Amino acid sequence: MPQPCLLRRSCPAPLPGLLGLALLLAAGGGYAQGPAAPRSPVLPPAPDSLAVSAAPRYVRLRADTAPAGTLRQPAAARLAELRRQPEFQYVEPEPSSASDSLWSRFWQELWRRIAGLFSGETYETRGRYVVYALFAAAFGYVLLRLLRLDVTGLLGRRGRALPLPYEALTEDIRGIDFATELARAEQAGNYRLALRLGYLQTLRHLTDRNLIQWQPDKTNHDYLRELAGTRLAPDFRALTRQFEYVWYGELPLAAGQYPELREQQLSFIGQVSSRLLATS
Amino acid sequence: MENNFHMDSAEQPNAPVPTSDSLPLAAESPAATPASVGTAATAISGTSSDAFTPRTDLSALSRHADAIRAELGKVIVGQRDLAELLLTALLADGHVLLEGVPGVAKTLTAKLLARTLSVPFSRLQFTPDLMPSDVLGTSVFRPQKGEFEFRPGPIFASVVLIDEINRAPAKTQSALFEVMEERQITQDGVRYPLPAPFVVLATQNPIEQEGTYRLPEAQLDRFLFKLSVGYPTVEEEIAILQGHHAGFGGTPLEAVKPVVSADELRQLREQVGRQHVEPKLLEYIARLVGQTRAHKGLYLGASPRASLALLNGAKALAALRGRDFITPEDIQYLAPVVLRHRIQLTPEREMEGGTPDDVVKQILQSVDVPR
Repeated sequence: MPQPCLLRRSCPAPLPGLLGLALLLAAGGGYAQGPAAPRSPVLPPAPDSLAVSAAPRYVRLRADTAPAGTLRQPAAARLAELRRQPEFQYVEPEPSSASDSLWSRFWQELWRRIAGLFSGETYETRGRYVVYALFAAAFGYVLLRLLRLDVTGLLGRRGRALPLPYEALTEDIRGIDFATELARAEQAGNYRLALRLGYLQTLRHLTDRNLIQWQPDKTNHDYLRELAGTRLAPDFRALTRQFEYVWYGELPLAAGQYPELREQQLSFIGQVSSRLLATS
Repeated sequence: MENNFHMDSAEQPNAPVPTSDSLPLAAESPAATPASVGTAATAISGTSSDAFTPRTDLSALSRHADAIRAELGKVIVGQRDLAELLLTALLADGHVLLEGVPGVAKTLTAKLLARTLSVPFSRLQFTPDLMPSDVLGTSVFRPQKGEFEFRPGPIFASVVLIDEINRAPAKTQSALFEVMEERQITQDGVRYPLPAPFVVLATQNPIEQEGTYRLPEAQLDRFLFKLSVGYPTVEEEIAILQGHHAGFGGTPLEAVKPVVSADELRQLREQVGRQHVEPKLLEYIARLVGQTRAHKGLYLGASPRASLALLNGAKALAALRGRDFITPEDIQYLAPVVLRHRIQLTPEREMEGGTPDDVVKQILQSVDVPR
């Protein structure tokens, strides 16, 4: 006869339905057997495993003395058949070299050699750092070339101008034979050119006396500023004005005007040469 | 000898050596007078130098330039070089871009220059939401006529002041391409020429400032000059303060009167166009501009339009200096303001802290002056 479960928490999930059924059967049975002594609904306590009277019990197991089983081997033909099945081939077999094209064999060989650089005894030693450095340098060079970067400035060098598609005309006043060139221009009646040569001659004398610092990129007014404060400045300003009007302004210069202008240039050169008026 | 010349301060004794940006622009001095010559046996100048005078009469140009300078000087303190370069651009028929930090009188200078000309004036404040039609104009439907009619925008004026031009995005900037170069608007297939003269005076803050866009290269190339407006000196700033303190707000803008008409400006420009240019100087300009295309510190060089700008600017500058021909001095002086906005530095040069003006200076030093 099933015992009614009084504590709902201790009953399993399907027990509530069964509990009702058990109570019903117990009530019916009572009526069939007649009146009986009422039983206590409280279950007796379970034996306390921690009590002193609870002695430990040991189980002695017998040793397994049965003989070891024999390993079954499939038949050799069956094993070979299984090995041929693709489902059991976990590693792709390398294609035969006979089917490779020349191009694929070239790449295989190339990659094999590249892989060889990172393997072997040399790779295991410090020599591998040399290989690393070479590859890093090559990679950096390719990167700089692709990005068109110029890092020469980091080393103290600065970029130089690329050659121009035309010839740069440079004229060094120290290399001009003024006497010859002036005589030729005067003889040809090219007084404009003669006045220019005379002006360059004055610049040459000023440079020789360190009164100006000759540089091809300087303008005449740069030299005027360098002479500022000297007693030569007013006369040089007048000569500069003459030169600019005749050379840059292409003002016609008559034959009768030239001797006086040349005389003024020679007078100025005389002042510079004598250094009487070089500085105030 | 004409008396409209006066002493160039750069040539005065003990004057500091100016840089190309600070070189005064006053007319150059004539030949020294006999009294100024030392004890030389033969005095330079005298009667012979009287022959060295301009072949064309530049007195009207000089008079008008002096009048504009005087009008600007009523309000503007200092900024003399800025005013002279604005005058140069005006005579060279070019547009000007003024760049500077806020508060250095960029807009005021441009506005006053416009007031000295008796021509239609218009002002545009560029904002981020400005549309091209807000600048150029748009076609509106007239129900009475039953047709569309073009309504001109504020660009239709002779002097257009575009304030804070780099506050508008590239879409709006592109609207200015045609009008700045060709002086016309094409709308719905119809060409609308602008009245002459047509000058755009634009101001902008440096690109580092908040809320600014970089102008397209194509538009920058259309500006004749890019002028950097700097801070005034201490003396100039004191003068500004004194003026405001005494006048309770400074001189009113109405004090500046128009002194040059559109027709007079046209005549002056024609005169500038006839300036003499020695062939070697044309080659000098071409070499300078060509070097910008070969310089290793630049990834974008100047265009042939820059060469033309340098030539036209030098012609106007020479006229303002009292000459009817240009010299290498004129070209060197204008090279930074003509080239600085037309060239682009390479990233590494920019990282090194280089500026376009540095590169232009290097280029000037690398090309021989023809003489």
